[in-house]
Amino acid sequence: MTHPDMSPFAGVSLKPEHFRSALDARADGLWLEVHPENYMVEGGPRLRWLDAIRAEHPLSLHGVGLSLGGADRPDPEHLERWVRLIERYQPERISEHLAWSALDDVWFADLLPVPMTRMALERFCRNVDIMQTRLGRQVLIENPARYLRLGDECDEAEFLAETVNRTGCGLLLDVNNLYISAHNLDTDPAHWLARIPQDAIGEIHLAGHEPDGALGDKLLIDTHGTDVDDSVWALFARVISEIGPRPTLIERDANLPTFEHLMAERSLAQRHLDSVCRPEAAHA
Amino acid sequence: MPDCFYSDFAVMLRGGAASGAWSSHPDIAARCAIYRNNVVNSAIEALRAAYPTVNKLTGDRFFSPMAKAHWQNNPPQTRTMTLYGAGFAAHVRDYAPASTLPYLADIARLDRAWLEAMHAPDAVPCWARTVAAMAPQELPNLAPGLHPSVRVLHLDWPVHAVWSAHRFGQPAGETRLAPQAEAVILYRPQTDVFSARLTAADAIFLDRLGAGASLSTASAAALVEDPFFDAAKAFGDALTAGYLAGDLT
Repeated sequence: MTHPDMSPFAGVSLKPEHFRSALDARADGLWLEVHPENYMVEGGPRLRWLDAIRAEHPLSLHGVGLSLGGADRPDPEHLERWVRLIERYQPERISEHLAWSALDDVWFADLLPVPMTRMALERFCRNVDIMQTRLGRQVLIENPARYLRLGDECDEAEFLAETVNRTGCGLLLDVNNLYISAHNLDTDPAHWLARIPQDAIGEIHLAGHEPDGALGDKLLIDTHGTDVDDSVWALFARVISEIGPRPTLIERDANLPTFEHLMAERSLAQRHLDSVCRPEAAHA
Repeated sequence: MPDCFYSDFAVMLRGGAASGAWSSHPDIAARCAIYRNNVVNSAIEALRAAYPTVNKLTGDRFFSPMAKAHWQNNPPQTRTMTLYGAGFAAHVRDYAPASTLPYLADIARLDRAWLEAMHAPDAVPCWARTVAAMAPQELPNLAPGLHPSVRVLHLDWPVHAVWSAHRFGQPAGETRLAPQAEAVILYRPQTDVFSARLTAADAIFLDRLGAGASLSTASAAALVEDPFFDAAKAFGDALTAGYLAGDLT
């Protein structure tokens, strides 16, 4: 089967358990994404595996540690580790989050919520600018999975749109986060999509979610521990029919299945992307 | 929103009450619990991955609260979890519920040394052929230093065999141990991490080399421990295994 010329490809997130399978995989256009924080070590086999895999497949770096939405400026040492990884692995794309994770030198290792306020916007734009300037690259910023309203002065789409305008960053649209946030905070994904600068979206993420242990389906949690839900596939189809196809990642961090299982989900994502580029492909 | 948002939120994450305008949100307890659980579970799972033998010997249900207690006093201070938990062995030693397994802290030290060796800088060790070209009279003054992956441990319990069996092989039932000093080296000359028991004199010899001493000075220190210490054999073993730094300039 020949691939449509203009269709972007689907990728999967890469975990050390899948190094060998990923190295050997020969799927057309397969790309892989890692958290750079897991490769910020001085030496050893983890870096060498990624060297070998990078020689076979395109790579993207998806950061979780810069705390761009925090009160402080990005940690300069962490930025230097980013620089070294970019030099070594030459990633196709780099991304970070609208989130914070550190305060007073303590790292919480979670993506914590940013209040949608003017003051937070000023700081966030400053920090995105610092990151892009030091790395000499455009950064894609991912929309958060939200569970709380924090005295917001503007909505999330407005916050992100303003960040794009001021910093020239791009966006990473996590469709699972968009679905969860709309569900949890009773908003409309279509409204979000209409207010976002769609041309700035450079990558899409798809992941699994689960109902909260206490509140059930009333509160959905972004666990990355299950397959992509049908509701998220449906929203993904709507999104790419409206904005066009983008490189799309199957993201999985917990309850890790086999690499082949993730590749099967990737194939489904690829068929969606191909159907937008070449509508008859979906029915072939 | 005032500037105290972040510190208020951090108080909540550490188990304190939610405060600030957002704390009146419907279902606030369940919504805060998501963040609290993510933060503490990130730390617990990072420690479980870093200390797999401690986890195997104690079980998930014992390990998790022990790890949580460590996180409460020693939260991560770097932006990567790969090497989080440097002080975990000391925490295990002082953790009262673990007192029935007095050698558990030494198991933790072995797991930690393995992790550090795994992620240490890559370097070509000093192999025998590296020194073969040197004149014999130069050797006593040679101070090669240790390969950057080498960790020499002086344990209080003879747990290397127990650790190795639980981590890599088939554990052989219950092991009754009596406290006794044991020295162990962990090292990664190339891709794989290896471990080996050392005699007390060999451990002193390598410790001194690691501190920058010459072969003759390190040998003299080892001879104090063991009058029959064979420096030529210890040096040969170090070259064969790849304990020594390769850059002799």
